[in-house]
Amino acid sequence: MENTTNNQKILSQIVSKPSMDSWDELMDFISTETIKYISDKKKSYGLKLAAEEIISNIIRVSECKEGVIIKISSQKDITTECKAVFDLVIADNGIHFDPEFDSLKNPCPDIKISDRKIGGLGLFLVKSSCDRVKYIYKDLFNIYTLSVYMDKTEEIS
Amino acid sequence: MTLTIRTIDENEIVTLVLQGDVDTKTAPELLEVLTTLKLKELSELKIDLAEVNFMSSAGLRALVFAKQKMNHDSIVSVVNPNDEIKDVIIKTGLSNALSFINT
Repeated sequence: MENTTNNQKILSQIVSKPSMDSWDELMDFISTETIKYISDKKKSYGLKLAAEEIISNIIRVSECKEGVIIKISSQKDITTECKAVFDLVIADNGIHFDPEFDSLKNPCPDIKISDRKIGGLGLFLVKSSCDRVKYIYKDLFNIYTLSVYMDKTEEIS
Repeated sequence: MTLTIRTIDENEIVTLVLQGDVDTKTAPELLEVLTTLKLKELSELKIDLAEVNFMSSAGLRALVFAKQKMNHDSIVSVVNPNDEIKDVIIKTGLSNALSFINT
């Protein structure tokens, strides 16, 4: 599957139900795409980690809701001329949820483990594991764009 | 992806040898094993990650759960994590509560 939208060239796409029954299929897609297009192991891992957190959130909120779908596409961002950018775009038409990435704070390492709150850890990992994270709500879809900057010499084809 | 967990019980020290990915789907299995242990009575819990390629926040939560259930002076050690998992543990500040062992 290969399409070109205004700013992105879609390399591959999967559409499924946000359900734990689809978990392996969705994660296999993420693993395949990140390994295929990102040679930097740390960046590849980080993008998979971020995607895992987003998909997990979507399933937790929307599982079993009638008519909800999840769409994931790997894309080449062709708007940034100075660097190659690989995007994973994850969209769902479940409950509107803005993660407010810009207001997320880093976990404080000085907090004792007994006092540590676990909530927010996943979103922190999303933000910190990619080079760029964007969220928009459009046409009843939550759309998360997780991006990594590639080495200029790497070609996403 | 599946997760297999082997438990090595040496009195006050328990080692969990994990193989596979620890993610949203499989972390509950780790949590289930942890809840069967008498964590309060352990001096050390070793989590062997040599055969684990990927750990999400769900896996980290399981480690935090174990540490919170153990006595204050007990140790949770992460054994042979790959570089990426180690980086995530450090990045989240959990390295202050967990020990790394490389063998």
